[in-house]
Amino acid sequence: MNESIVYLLKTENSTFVKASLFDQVTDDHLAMWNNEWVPVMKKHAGDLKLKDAPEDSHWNWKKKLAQVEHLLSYQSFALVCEGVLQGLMIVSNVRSAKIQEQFGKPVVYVEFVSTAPWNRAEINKPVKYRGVGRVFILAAIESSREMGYGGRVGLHSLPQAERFYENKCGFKRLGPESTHQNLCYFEMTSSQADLFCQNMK
Amino acid sequence: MKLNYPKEWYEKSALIEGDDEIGAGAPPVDWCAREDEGGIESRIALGQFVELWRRDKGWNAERLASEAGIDTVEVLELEKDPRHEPEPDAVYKLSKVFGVSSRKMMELAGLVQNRNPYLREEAIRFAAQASPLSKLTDVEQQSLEAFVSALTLTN
Amino acid sequence: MSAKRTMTLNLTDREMLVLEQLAAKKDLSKTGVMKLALRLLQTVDERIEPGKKLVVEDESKNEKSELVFL
Repeated sequence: MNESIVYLLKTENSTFVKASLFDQVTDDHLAMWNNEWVPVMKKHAGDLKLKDAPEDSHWNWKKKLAQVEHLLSYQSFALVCEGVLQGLMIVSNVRSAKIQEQFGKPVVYVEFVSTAPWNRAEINKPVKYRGVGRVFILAAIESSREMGYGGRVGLHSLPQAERFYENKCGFKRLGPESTHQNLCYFEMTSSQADLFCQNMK
Repeated sequence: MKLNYPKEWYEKSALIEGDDEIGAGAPPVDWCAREDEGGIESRIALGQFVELWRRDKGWNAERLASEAGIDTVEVLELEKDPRHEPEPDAVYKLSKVFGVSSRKMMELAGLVQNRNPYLREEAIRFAAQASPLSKLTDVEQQSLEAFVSALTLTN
Repeated sequence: MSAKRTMTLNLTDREMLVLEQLAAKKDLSKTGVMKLALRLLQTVDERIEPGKKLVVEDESKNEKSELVFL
């Protein structure tokens, strides 16, 4: 397992604090998810009508990981800052690109990505740490490059995050897909990935 | 995979990100359950069905779990928490104990695509009539029997 | 980073030709194609159990055909 040092913006005092990105989710991370995220998410979702609860409030990361952790085609990531789990991501690397110019070439596909409840404006405003989403996209791009996929990345965005992927990461929107609960599919080309890594988008 | 970017990259990146939501991902419908408003009603019915079925037998949750070969916690979560994403294996094993169609149980659990449009109506009717009392009333008994036959009939 | 091990792969001309064509099509090195093939085989093999089949669907023509797999 590799640990990368990254930085998040702590809004409380507007300082950048060190965080660790691990390229493997461990039992310790899952215990943090279960003990720290789940109670907050359950309380928040319980106060809302089901249709208003965050789309991913019911995701069970332990089960998701158990289904894929033994497969070479999946990789998981955990982001920890100041001793607390801030985000989780699972990617796979056997899917093909859909954008015409790179059609059929392999992409790193973000199966699932979530940030901790206290980093979501809808639950906790101001959010505690900023920057979790782009750290994960950076990790997906680097993972894609490492596999020889040239930084190509694809994902199905939850409705409330579409703006983030299109406007703040430079993904191309390809439209809703019935095979994925009509969530919109987004994809990034190698050149878009280069721009992202230069913080141009 | 190791990231080697300077602190400045993350400083600029966090400012670009702002307070946007970042959630992504949806399991294909056949892989894993996702709840919508229709799904939750089916799952409430499934929970009540599991509870009524075992009470009708005079079993506690532990006994049912042991008969099915699954964790007691799985039985309790199925009965009490419609937001709980059940294990396909547990739903399958329970359907065998109940002697009902595993496919329909999977549909109620939201684990496979809905093929039986009437099943959801049956489930809602059942959920509306059943109530968690200690002893099954005559109405609950009839309701349970009708729902068992709806789950058993093949179509 | 976990340690890597080396193996020699003997391919026929035909196999090598297919490997080169796939490497060009997928924009990967030949090693990359072999690794992708290994990941795909493990993923599919894990999902295919007795009673399950792998299906290729053409949404535009509403056609489904079974992909025969080991």
